[in-house]
Amino acid sequence: MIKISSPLRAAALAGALLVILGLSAPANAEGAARAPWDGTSVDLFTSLIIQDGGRLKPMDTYAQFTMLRLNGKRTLRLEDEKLKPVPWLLDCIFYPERAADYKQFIVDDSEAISAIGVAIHDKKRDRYSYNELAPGRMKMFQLAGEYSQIDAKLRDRIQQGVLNLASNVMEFEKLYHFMDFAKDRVVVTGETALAKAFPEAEGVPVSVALVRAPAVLQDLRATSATLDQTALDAEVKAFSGMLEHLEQLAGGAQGLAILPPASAEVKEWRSPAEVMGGVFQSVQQPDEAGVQMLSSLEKLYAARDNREAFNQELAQLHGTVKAAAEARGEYAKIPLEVFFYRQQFLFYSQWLFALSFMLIAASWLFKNSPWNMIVTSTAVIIPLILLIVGIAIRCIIRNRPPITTLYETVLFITALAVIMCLVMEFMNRQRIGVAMGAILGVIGMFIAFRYEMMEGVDTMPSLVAVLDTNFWLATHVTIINAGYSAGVLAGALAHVYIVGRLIRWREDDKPFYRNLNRMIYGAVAFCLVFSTVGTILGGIWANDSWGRFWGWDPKENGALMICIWTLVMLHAKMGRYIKDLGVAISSVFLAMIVAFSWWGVNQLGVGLHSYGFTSGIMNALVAFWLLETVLMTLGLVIYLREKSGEQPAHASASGKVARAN
Amino acid sequence: MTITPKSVLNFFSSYGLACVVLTLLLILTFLGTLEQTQHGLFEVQNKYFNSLFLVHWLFDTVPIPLPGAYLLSGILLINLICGAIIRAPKSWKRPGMLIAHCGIIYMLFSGFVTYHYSTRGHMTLYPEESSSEYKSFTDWEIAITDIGKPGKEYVIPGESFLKLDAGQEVTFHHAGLPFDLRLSGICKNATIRKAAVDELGAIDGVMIQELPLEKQAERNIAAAIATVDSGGTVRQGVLWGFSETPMTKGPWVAEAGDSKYSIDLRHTTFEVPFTITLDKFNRDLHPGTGMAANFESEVTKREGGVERKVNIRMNEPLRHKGYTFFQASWGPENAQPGEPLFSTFEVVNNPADQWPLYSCIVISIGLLIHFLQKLLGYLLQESRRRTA
Amino acid sequence: MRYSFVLLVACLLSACGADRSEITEVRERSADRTLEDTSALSGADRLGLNRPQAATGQNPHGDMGMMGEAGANEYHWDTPATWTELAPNAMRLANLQVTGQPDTECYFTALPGEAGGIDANLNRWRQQMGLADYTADEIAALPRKKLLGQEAIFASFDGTYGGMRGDVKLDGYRMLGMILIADAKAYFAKMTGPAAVLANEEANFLAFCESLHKGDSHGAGAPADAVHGAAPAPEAAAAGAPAFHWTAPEGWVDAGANSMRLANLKVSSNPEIECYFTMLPGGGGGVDANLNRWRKQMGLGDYTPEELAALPKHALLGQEGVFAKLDGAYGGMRGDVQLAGYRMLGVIATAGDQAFFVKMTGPAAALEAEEANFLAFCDSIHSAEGHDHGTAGAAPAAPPAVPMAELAPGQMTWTAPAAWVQAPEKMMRVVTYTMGAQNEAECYISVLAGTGGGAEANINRWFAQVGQPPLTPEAIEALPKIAMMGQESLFVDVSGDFQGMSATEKQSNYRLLGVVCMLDGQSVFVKMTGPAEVVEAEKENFLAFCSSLQ
Repeated sequence: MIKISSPLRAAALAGALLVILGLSAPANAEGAARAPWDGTSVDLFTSLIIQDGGRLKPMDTYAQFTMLRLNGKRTLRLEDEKLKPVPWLLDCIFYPERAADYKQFIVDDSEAISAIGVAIHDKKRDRYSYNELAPGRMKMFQLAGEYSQIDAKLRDRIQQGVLNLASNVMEFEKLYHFMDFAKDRVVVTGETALAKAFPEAEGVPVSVALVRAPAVLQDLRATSATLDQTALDAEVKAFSGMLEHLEQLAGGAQGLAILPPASAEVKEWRSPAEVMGGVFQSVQQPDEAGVQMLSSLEKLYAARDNREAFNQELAQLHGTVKAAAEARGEYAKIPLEVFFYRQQFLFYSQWLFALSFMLIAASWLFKNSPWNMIVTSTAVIIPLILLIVGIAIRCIIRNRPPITTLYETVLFITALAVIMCLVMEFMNRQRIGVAMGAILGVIGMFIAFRYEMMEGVDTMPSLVAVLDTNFWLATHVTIINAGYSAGVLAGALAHVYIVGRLIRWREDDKPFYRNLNRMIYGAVAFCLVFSTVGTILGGIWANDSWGRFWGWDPKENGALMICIWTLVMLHAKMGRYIKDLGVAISSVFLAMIVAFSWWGVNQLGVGLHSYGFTSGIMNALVAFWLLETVLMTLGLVIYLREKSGEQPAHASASGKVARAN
Repeated sequence: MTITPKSVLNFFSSYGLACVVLTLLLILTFLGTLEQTQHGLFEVQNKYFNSLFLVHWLFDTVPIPLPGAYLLSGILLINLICGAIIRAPKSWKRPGMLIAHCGIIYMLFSGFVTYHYSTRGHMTLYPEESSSEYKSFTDWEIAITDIGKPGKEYVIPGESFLKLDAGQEVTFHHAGLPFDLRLSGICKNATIRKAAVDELGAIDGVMIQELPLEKQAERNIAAAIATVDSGGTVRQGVLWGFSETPMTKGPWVAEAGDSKYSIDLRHTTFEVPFTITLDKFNRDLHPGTGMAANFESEVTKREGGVERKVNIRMNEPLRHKGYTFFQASWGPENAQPGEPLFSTFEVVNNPADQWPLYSCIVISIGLLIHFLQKLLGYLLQESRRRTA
Repeated sequence: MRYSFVLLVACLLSACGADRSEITEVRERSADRTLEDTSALSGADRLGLNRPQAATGQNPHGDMGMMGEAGANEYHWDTPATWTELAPNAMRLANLQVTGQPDTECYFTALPGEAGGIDANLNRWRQQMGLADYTADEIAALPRKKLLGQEAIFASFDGTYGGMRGDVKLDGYRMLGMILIADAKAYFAKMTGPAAVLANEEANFLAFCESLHKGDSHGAGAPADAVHGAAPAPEAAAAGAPAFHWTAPEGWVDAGANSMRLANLKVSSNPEIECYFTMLPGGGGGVDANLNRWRKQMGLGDYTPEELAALPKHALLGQEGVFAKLDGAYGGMRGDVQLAGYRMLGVIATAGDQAFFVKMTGPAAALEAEEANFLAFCDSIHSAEGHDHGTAGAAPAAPPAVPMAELAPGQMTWTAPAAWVQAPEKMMRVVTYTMGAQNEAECYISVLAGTGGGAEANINRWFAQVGQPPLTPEAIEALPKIAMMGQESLFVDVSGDFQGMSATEKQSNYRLLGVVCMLDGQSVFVKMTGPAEVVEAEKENFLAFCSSLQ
């Protein structure tokens, strides 16, 4: 039978056989047991550095978003243990045969699973393991190939599901094979000079071969003329055999760029594969540091069952990489990013917003008092501060203004809306502001988490060239989002107004509605100023980037629509075409336009600003628009009700307010 | 109701007109945005935004006639002038609004100037190449030059013949030219192929093959059959817009009278009064990705013997003599490593280049004054209410 | 506005029948420009539809080592009417594009050797398109189309085009590819572009591939379906290796001999099948050992002596050989991929101290149909000595096929300076001369098959021999060039401490002159080494010697 150089090779072989023969996987992989990862391993691994998506980040960030993408959430429940991202990543890399049994591939619709010919679970939305998917792997990639030709907008759910699954499986295989090189050994037999350099019958680790082979190659080059052709031929053959083997191992090891580059000028970090290839490209200058790190990884793998030894090796690798990164001036932000994710500012912010809303709701049972005021606003201020600190840390990590991605617009708009609510609260002290702030805080943070989960990609990505300007990001982007924020707030306040009037809540409290209306009006005015200035600034940026002030790009149009609608509202109000109720109803419409501009145009898939296409967002948007249309209709109902004389008092009240303005 | 100057002024200065015009503009913007998912930007822009009137097909079945954004902007401008300036409250109670409206008028006016008086095109250079002209992305023209006297060009703008169908023809003449130029077989987008022997309709061994219009208008390549009639001698040649690329040997040259004339169908070409040489093109990628972090062209500008080295990069254009050079793109997209890359500059000559910036400042100041005024009023009222 | 007005005028005018317009715009242009006079050209010529000659220009980048082709492009083709020819570059012998479709590209290239083989290249292309690798069955099922007059494997697939590094993703792309391995070269024709465009261009692509041919004879040069092969290549045979001739069965194609394989064939209907003939000195370890090695490759245990004895016999090269038929899971040489349901057919015969092997592997079902062909192929193999092919060598006992094919001295002529002394023949050298008062300097010509590792590697090896750091590719490109054998050839002149060849001690103050000439299929090297003052004195002679080479 085939001689197998190591049991791990056998495992890999078995995997390959499985795939080729289309056999189903054994239910449990043997030798899958492992001691749980201890705190030291996890801590060290967390702050290991990886270059991914054009930037250096902690392994923790990479683990989180990879896990989010595959698994749909940041934890994985096993029978006896709950895995967080970093331990999960450790398993994928160091115990791939075990990780292959984890039910970690989220599938929204089991039809995608039956499409690839694999047995489905009972639940429609469920998680599958790699070993479960393996029999359908070929079919899956074949289908994915076909479906990828279909325009993204025309793909159905199942097609998209298969595509997502295939890309997740590919992502996992990157990890699965990452340590292949560390498991294998290089054996050279025969009578060649190469073989003489490798006397060990059981072979040597790759890192050792990488030191020896180039030396042999150099000797051979110097002496090639003295060799007869048969000998030379044999040498060439032996060499190409070994290179082929190394190349094959390198194939698996190219997934993660975790090793610092050899020279200070090079920005690209390296995967083990690149170190392996580089050794033969520049035989003259041996890459001792690179090979040393490979050896470190090999030892790390060898020590995987011995936590103490593992931690020792990991600490050494960590130290080497950290020192190299520090020397390159690339380490400074890594601990900050670890800190940011570890402290979970945004997570706590969301729950505190929820808590504060409950507190404020409870406070309505009591009379308005200064004490009441202090408690409720503090309840909103604490999560707001957490949110602002979170945004600030992100700015420091990336050395950017607060908004660079759609995800960050959510954080920023939420924070700003809450701030505006608090400002209004301090102006009129009606406890509408704080309550609205808490509600918007909860909703905003909810959207942020949902969106992050849906995308499953790093929310601090590298920017394309045209966005790479702190000046315009700080001015245009920030201002236009402030405009969105005010539009959202105006819409939200209008909800209170319309629903309140509809159910005749605080019917006799005219100052309440007058104040509410003034808040709406203020928000609309704020929206107009910021949208207009932001839109024009956008045009000026475009003029500086492409030489055209206005290009009718969908995102530009969206912003313009907000400006136009606020102008219509204000002119209609001044021309007495609408009064308080009209302002409220049109504010709801303003919120719809803001939603279109903020999220909707990105779904169109055209133009310069079309980033982040996710069909789930489209569904949510349509639901939102329907809901808002219903609300506007209810607003009309109030109008008709009052017109028919049921509520003359209110009509005259609003009339007075309108005149007062 | 009689129409008096006052009633006309009332109408044009009314809030109602403002509301209606703005609402129509909103609808137009919305429809024009949605339409972009179906049609190219160029087409949508011309239909919705650069037009007087248009018909929108709702769900492709219901025709809705609408005024175009060009017309609406005009009415809005009148409305602004009448309402916010002429009929503005004579007192200075609301200075902010007056300032802001002036700013908007200024902005609309700069849009008008840009639309009518700016030219736009691209200059594409490989390293070491120089040029002092830029070419439109979408517009075509025919330039007729006596190749013995290259200093003078007779130009036929594309719009004067490209609107014609392949079946129609049109003849051009000029007193300075010893021939009439007849254009036929006009195609807005076409390719050419070698004709079969004796193929019907072949000119000079070449067949023009009409293609459907591209969604991206800049990809269309115009073509036409040119007939040079110099009183008895008639010559025919194929004009094809791709003649500006290196694959062809140049434009058609026809003999007429004692001279030879180059008849060139090309993208509308504009000259700049200086020369740009691309010294070097740099492209930085985000490490480990194919995503461009920055691209930058090192160019030399030569003008009357004076040289100046300039770097043009994203967000940092070169502005000179009313021309602005923007780093627009580069290529070839799938270049092999080490293959030289070309750099494409978008060149714009716009008299109103920086006007929007000035108008933005004016509008911002106006709005700020106005709303601060209102906010202060509200706060005063509120404190009075509380003390009361 | 202007637009509609002009339109209106134009319509009115045409309605009246007076379709004459005045040209209203006259521009002044800088008068120093020159305009091409194309009046002498036909329309088709002017618009680039007739390529007067195939691209025969020098390789614009001078990067000769990369493609194993000397500068001149010897391939010709017909460009489809709707295509545009772009300048060829270092890697692309033909470089085309669909006219007006800048997203499309089509190129043809040739690489020495097998360039990794058909499967690996197909799968590399699939990777570029974001697709999973082909299965063996899929590859087997791929159609065959004509490329260079031979049956080449043709693949068409749609995907997301990611280019070489997979960083830019272009949805809805299609790739058409054709791969042929023949004459010790791998030929690739590949076209990429938006699927919608390529759907209409497939016929053009196939026509382009079919029109591709080598040399001047238009459309000729296509080997017949039945391939008659000779191994090793004639020029090598003349140098002394025994030559073998064979006849390939119908449907088989010559994949080109290499260092290990005297004959190397593929079955055009199924790329998974390969068949080769090889010869090992010293009995190759014996028949039994080789048979068991094969069994191991198929995942089978060793033959028992009884089984061995019972194997059927089949003649090979006039010797009695054994014929083995093994079914199993083929693991190849590396044992990393297991291909179930494979079969191996093998014939081993020994003659004196030589062992001859013919071996064929492929899916069992496909091999079932090819077994008769296989045996017929074995029967057809014969030594060239019995034939008068005019290429037969004289020394039958020379070593087996070697990667460094040497040109026969008779095929190359030169004039040596009178003062030079011809040295005894040396391995790997066409001729060696010595010079200087004590014959302390030497100059030799050597010829290597293919690129001999490329100009760059060889030049840097020379530099290393005199203890100099290697040159950058730019520096190599900037080296002076002299004409040798009708080629612009790189000329190296470097001094240092010499430690090369058999010398065990460093020779200080040495100088090395060298010329690297890349010809089609061969590389010719001329090199002179010696003490600096001797070489200086002989430099003129060296250059004259080089230019005399024919």
